This record gives sequence, structure tokens and C-alpha cells, in this order.
Amino acid sequence: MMYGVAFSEIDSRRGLPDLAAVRQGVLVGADRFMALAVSAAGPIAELGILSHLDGLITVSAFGPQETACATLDEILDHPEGKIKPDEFSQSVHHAAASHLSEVFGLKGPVFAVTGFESAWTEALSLAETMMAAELCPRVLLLGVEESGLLTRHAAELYPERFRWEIVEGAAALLLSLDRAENRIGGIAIGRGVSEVTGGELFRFGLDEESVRQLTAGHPNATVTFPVWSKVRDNRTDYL
Amino acid sequence: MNAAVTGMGCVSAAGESVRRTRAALYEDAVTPARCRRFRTNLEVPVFEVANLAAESDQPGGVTMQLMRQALFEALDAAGVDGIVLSRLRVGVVIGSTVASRFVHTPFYAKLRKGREVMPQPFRDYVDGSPAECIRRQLELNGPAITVSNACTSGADAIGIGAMWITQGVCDLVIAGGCDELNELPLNGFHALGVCAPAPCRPFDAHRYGLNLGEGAACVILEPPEQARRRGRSAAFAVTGYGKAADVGRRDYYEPVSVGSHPDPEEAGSQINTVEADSIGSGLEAAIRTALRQAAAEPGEVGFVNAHGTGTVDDDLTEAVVLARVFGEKLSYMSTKSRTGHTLGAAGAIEFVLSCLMLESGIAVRNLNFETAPEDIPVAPLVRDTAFDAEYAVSTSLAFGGSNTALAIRRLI
Repeated sequence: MMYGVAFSEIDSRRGLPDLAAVRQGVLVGADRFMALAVSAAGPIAELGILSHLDGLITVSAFGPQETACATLDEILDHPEGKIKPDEFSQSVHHAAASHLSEVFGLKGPVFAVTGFESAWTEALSLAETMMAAELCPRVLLLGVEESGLLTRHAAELYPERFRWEIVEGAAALLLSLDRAENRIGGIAIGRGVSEVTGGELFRFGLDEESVRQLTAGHPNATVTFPVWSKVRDNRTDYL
Repeated sequence: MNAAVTGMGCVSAAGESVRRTRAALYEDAVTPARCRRFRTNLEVPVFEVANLAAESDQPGGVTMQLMRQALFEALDAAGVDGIVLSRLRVGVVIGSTVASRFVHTPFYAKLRKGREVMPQPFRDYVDGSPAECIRRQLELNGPAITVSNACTSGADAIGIGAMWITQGVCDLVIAGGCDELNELPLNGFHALGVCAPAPCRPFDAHRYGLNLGEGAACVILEPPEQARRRGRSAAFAVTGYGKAADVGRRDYYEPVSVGSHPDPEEAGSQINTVEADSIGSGLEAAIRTALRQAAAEPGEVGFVNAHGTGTVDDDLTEAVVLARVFGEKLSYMSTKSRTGHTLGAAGAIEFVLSCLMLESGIAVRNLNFETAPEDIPVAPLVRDTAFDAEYAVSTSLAFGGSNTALAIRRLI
């Protein structure tokens, strides 16, 4: 059983913090993706409980869209080989994870996880694995979804998978296997098989009820995250 | 840690299967050439997989086409079919950089201008997320994780898979890495100024950068006792996985308050710590963790298959760290002068190459190494060298100070 040490979340429906200020003030040269992550995790960092031994996982479906699209713009709009190197290096998923580990002073293992199904819960599972293997004592899990060209068009391009508007936001959850660190309750993973579509699962895997429970946070509570192992797929001809 | 390797698949410029890779390993290697798959005016040589279609209409594109080739070879080698998969808790963990992002520029060019687009490239991107794609299509019921840790992705996937087996999370794990060569990495690495104008020369005094490549590798991991029950004899095992970040490596950001940093001694775990300000501290921590998990001393390691891209700074850092950990008897090489730098696939491909060297008992020479640099303490192998050891270590490094080490043991 994992335990929640601290949880914090930001969500565009409830209003985001001033990301421009975050980018200018805390993260010199950061993109929007990183600013979302730092804004979500800021309250946890301010508790003063992060250790440099802790690990970090970022999880996202579309990743750093602003930077990734800027790289594609560079390829389309400039002569070959003339794209901005920083744009390219920051556009890979792992760049944000790596830079965030530096922001928070973490030198434990750092992972960037991607996926469109139950990525948040799979990342939770990875956190448990990392701690059980004693790669690190705790893991800071950061779920981030940045709004961009692809997310804005996702529902029209693939309505079977993206039924609802994709919400921009980020969530930070500090995890431990040590019961003594339990502040907001147990974290459990329910692995099952269910015929559901990806659209129902989207929003980096966190549903409203889970967010409410984690925000309320009680040591005696347990929040269970489902893993949907079987997303309906009518295209079975390619494997 | 003890995860038996019961099957392997591999495709790269060095060979389109494990059998072909094994046959070519000690022969004159393929040399990189100008890119043929897609139109480019960049005059940098690359390692392309022979006979690979320019495009794929399948989810995940060419990257997943490469992955499927390695996957089916590995499943076949492990004697794993649909019946076996249906009876076990099977996890899948794949490392990739290209498949983790949208790279279809013709589609994007229309979308950004508000023009009508055919949705298929977007759908293929979503459906082609590697681990989920494999889980869905093989109807697996275990965890599925795609790791996008840049150039350590493939090695990390194998490490995570080995942890799942060791901890009993899964009965069987499909682990590997895959990446195609396309205009994004070619443009990006060229812009970074790290592409060599000729065949790369890892660790050489006159090294001038890397050659990009492409490929995929896949391994089937199982608990040794289960492999025996299935009548499979595993030749190798993943016995250690170390992973650590370098801190203090960049100055992009002003630090925020991060609170207390407990004394590592008080942490009381097996977590490795080294001086944060020493060169390559994260890589050293990763290697020492992998060795400790494997219960192996540095002297018991036959060779290290180093990351060794051929870039000036990274090769220096890695060589210094390897010498610090393994001492003067260090035996190491980079195999990227045979495959190119295959990015998210590199760690998995190099794992397979390491297994093949353990199998033969001969460590391959570091191709194109001619002049020993003054600042590299121990030179890499300049000729194929027989060794008498059960262990090998494969190291992977990535953007932003991500360091991975895998310890591999020969069982037969």
C-alpha cells in the first residue's frame, strides 16, 4: 500500500495561476507545460518536506504542446537544419521531467510517462515499483495536460476517444511507502478489465471524485484508482 | 533483482533480427550513409534499417512497425503464444521518444492554418502509443507504460520490467525500446550541433559527434522458476537496474525552496549517493546501484557497453565515471558506431548486443577508435577481446542528466 503525503492540483475550469509570472519568476526559460507542473507542485515544495533522494514522474498524454508545436513550426517555416536547438531539446517529454527534478532539487530516478488510457494510474503503479525497489524513498508524481492545437481539435478528430473537452491543468501527489508519512490516506490501484473507450478516461486519469478525496485528505481514507486494461478498439487488423 | 530473459528481438542497421545481428557482430560493420528514407539536404550520415518502408499506415507509424518486428521475434524466441499470454499477468513497458509525440508535419501544417484535415494521422498517433497499442492488440491484462526518457528510454523500460518481475507485479513482461529516424530528430540533433559529418568515433580524441540511427529491441522477462516450468532455458538475466539524475547540471532556473535534505545515511536504504558536485555523479550512482542489486563487484564485470555517442563532453564524462567505478582493468566499448544512436531504442538494442557478447564470451572492439585522448583515463577496446566473466553492464545517458545502468548476467 502506498500513502499520500501531500496533494495539490490546478485546473483551468477553476482558474489557473498566473503562469506567465511563474515562467518569468521561478523558471527562467520554462514553457507552459513546466509552469503548470511547478504551479501544481509549489504548495508541496513549500511544505519543506521534499528530500533530494526523492524520485519524480511526470505523466501526460500530449506532453509539452506549446514547445512541441513550436518545433514543428520551426521545421515548416525555416530552412532545414535551422531550427532552434533549445526548442527541440525542450520539446521531448523528458525535458520537463528533468528540469522539474532540478527545480525541486531531486536527484532520485526521474521518469516521463505517456499514454492515452490510464496513464496516471499506471504512473502511480510505477511509483510504487520504484519505492519498493528502493530506488528512492518517495516519489513526486506530476500529472500535466497542457492545452494546445492538438487537444483543442482532439474531439473532432477522434470523437470515439475524446468525448469531452480536454481540461488543462496539473496535479501533484507526493507518495511514500512509509505509513508514518501518511497524511492524506492510502493510495490503491484497482486493476481490472472493462470495455470502455479512452474518452471516458481522459484527463490524465484523475476523475473529480479522486481529486475531491485527495484534496480532503484523511489518513484513514483510501483512494482507489482504476486501471482500465482493455480499451475498445475496432481496428484489429494491424498486429 | 533476477528477471530471466527468455526471448529477444532486435532490428537495427546492424541486423534485422537477433540472428543477423549476432552474425554481423564481429564482422566489418555497416557504415552510415546519407539518409535515403526521406528527402533531406542535411549532409550527415545516418544508420538506416535496410528494406524499411518510408511510411506506415499502421498506428504508431514506422516506429511501431520496427517495434512489432522485434516484438514478434522475441515472443517466438520465448515460445510465447496467445494461449500463454492469456494465462499470465503480462505487463508491457516500452521506451520511445518519437512515438510519444506528434510528428506528422503535413497534417500539422494544415491543422495550424485551420484547413480541413483527414484525421487518420492523429488517430494513428493516439492509437500508436506503444505500450497501450501492444496491450490492446495482444489483449493483455497487466500494466502498460510508455517511458519517454529520451535516450535512456529503452534501458529504463527493461529496468522497469525487471522490477515488475522481481516484485511479483507480473508473471511475464514485454519490454523494449523503439524509434524511427525522421525529420524531427534529424533536424533537432543537427541544430544542436552534435551530428558527425562522418562515421562517429566514440571516445576517440578526434571525435566529432554522433550518427543518428533507428531500430527496436524487445525482451521477454520472466521469473526464472516460471521459465523452467515452461520448459524454457534462459541464457541471461537482468540482475540490476540503477537510475539516478544529475543535479546541478544546468542553470536554466532559479531554484525554489525545496526544504530539508536528509542525511543519506539516515535514509537507511540501499539508495546510492555520491558527491553531487563530482562529474557524472548520477551515472556513478546508477552503476553502483545496479551492481549492488546484482551482488556483483566491479571486478566481476566482463565489459561495459557504454552509451558512448561520440559527442565530446558526454563521452568524457562517461569514460571518467567508468574508470572511477571499474578501475584500470575496465573493459568497455560503445556499439553506436555499429548501429548509430537509436535514441529511445538505444538502451534496449545495446542490452541485446550485450547479451550476445556475454553469449560468445568476446567483447567487441570500439569501432573507429584510433587516438586515445589525454583526458580519458582508460581507452576503450581496440580489438575484439575474450573475457571470462558472467556479468556485463550497459549504460545509458540522456538529455538533462538522466542516467541508467543495467546489470546483465549470463546464466548458461
